[in-house]
This record gives sequence, structure tokens and C-alpha cells, in this order.
Amino acid sequence: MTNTRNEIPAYVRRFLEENIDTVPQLETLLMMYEKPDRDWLIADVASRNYITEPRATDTLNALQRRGLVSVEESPRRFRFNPANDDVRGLVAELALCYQRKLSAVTELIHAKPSASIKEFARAFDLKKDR
Amino acid sequence: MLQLAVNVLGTLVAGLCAVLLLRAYGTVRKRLLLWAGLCFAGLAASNAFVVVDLFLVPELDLYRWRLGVAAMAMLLLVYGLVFESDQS
Amino acid sequence: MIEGFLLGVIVTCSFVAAGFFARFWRATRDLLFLGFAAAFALEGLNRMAFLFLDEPNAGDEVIYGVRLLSYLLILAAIANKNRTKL
Repeated sequence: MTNTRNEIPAYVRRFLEENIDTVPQLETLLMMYEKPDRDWLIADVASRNYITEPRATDTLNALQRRGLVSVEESPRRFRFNPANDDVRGLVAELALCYQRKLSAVTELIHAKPSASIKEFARAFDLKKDR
Repeated sequence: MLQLAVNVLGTLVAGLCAVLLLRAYGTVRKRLLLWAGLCFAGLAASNAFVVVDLFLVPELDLYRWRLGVAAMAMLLLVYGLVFESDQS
Repeated sequence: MIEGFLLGVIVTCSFVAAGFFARFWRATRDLLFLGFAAAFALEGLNRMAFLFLDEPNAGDEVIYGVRLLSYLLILAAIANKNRTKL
């Protein structure tokens, strides 16, 4: 466990902990990051990541709430759109880390508490606007 | 009276937790938040009942009902923790 | 009899809930969960005290003091969560 912590920079780890709950969520984000000019439908994301459409919907909505992707309607589509350049840089770093140290990153995600528990804690955080 | 003050505080604290959790459930739809929110709503009600029991209807004894509501509320929470807390 | 049963349900559930929240605290290091764990554990112990009371409405000072403490623990946990981060 200590080894894993040393392989990934602290600020990338914090970004991961705050914004990514599952491996499909990470892969969705990175997939969209690699094609920043493309609009993604829920069905696209579902089939590309081998997840069901309800899970893809959950994932995309979560990424949108965290200011990583933007959404447009009719039809409902998403696009990689980080809130600012710092975030964009963090995603780029995360992409590199994932490329080079895949097992370290996935281990970090799986060692984390479930999304439900994290959302429970977030419910009491009045500062963040979810 | 200490008892009254504590029960009012209890109603407020539990009520606050209920509001925060149910509001968050409205956004993120994680069922753990629903069960926990309902639990705190029930605990708030149970606390409020004390005030009713002792001051508004002193001729009736609502103790059993207060306990029943609190017990139901806690069962909802435990259900949520057991079955929904590992839901990602 | 039924009051005893209901108290038993409440006490048991309180301890179970405290256990879950303690685990969440260990997993997340989020003090919020420690606050909830302590509050529920305290209330579970507190409710047990009712077993030794003849009249539950008498309002023993200690029991209400402990209950007050558990509510304050929850408030403190929530307040701590919302402290401005450095």
C-alpha cells in the first residue's frame, strides 16, 4: 500500500479521490479527454466501456456535477469540458499515470470506500455545490 | 427543563440530518442516503413526540409510540447500512 | 414488555449503526463518521440505562445529559466538516 502511494503524485491522488469513484468512471473521463471535440451519447459511453446504460448515465451525471464534462440536451449528449485549466492539467496527468501505472491507479480506486459512503459524507458538506 | 431542551435540540439535529441526506438523495440517488434520511426524520419525529406526550396530551401515555417510531427509524437505517452501503 | 422489546431493538440497531460508521471512518478518515459512530454508540449505551429506571418519563438528569452530548457530537462533526479548508 505504501508503495502505491509513492508511485502516484499526491495532487493526482487527491484529484482521483475527490472526483473518481469507479474504474468505469475513470475510463469514461479519459476516453472523453482523448477526444475533446466529440459529443458523446449515453449509449456510446455504455458500449465503449462495457457497462449498462443506467450506469453510464450515473457516471456521466456524476462527472458533470463535478465540473469535468458539460451536457447538452436534444439529444442528451456530453462533452469533455473541465471547469478550468488547472483541472484540465490534472486530467492530463491522471491520463499519464493511468497509462504508466495502471495497477497502482486501479488499486487506489478499489481501496476507496463506495460511492454511497462518499455521497453520505458529501451530503453534510454545505460548502461544495455538489 | 433539561428534558424539554434536549428533546427540542434532538428534533432539530435529527431534522437537519434528515434534510441534508434527503436533499442529497434527490440529487445523487444513492439509496443509502434515502434510508438514513428517513431514519433521521423518524428520530426527529420521535423527539418531537416527547414534547407532545408530556405537554400537549399529558393524559395519554405516548411512550410506547415514541419508542415504536424510533425503533422503526433505526431499523430503516440498519437496513440501509447492511444492503446499500457498498453500492457504488 | 413491549417497551423493553422496543428499547432492545433501538439499542441493538444503535450499536450496529455505530459499527458501520466506525468502519466508514476507518475507510475514509472522515471525522464526520467518527462523530456519528460515537453518537450512536453513546445513545445505545444511554438507552440501556432505561432498563434500570422505573419511570421512563421521570427524565433522569444524567440520561438527558448523555443524550445532549451525543447530539452535540453530531453537530460538532457537521461543523468540523464545514470548516474552511486551509
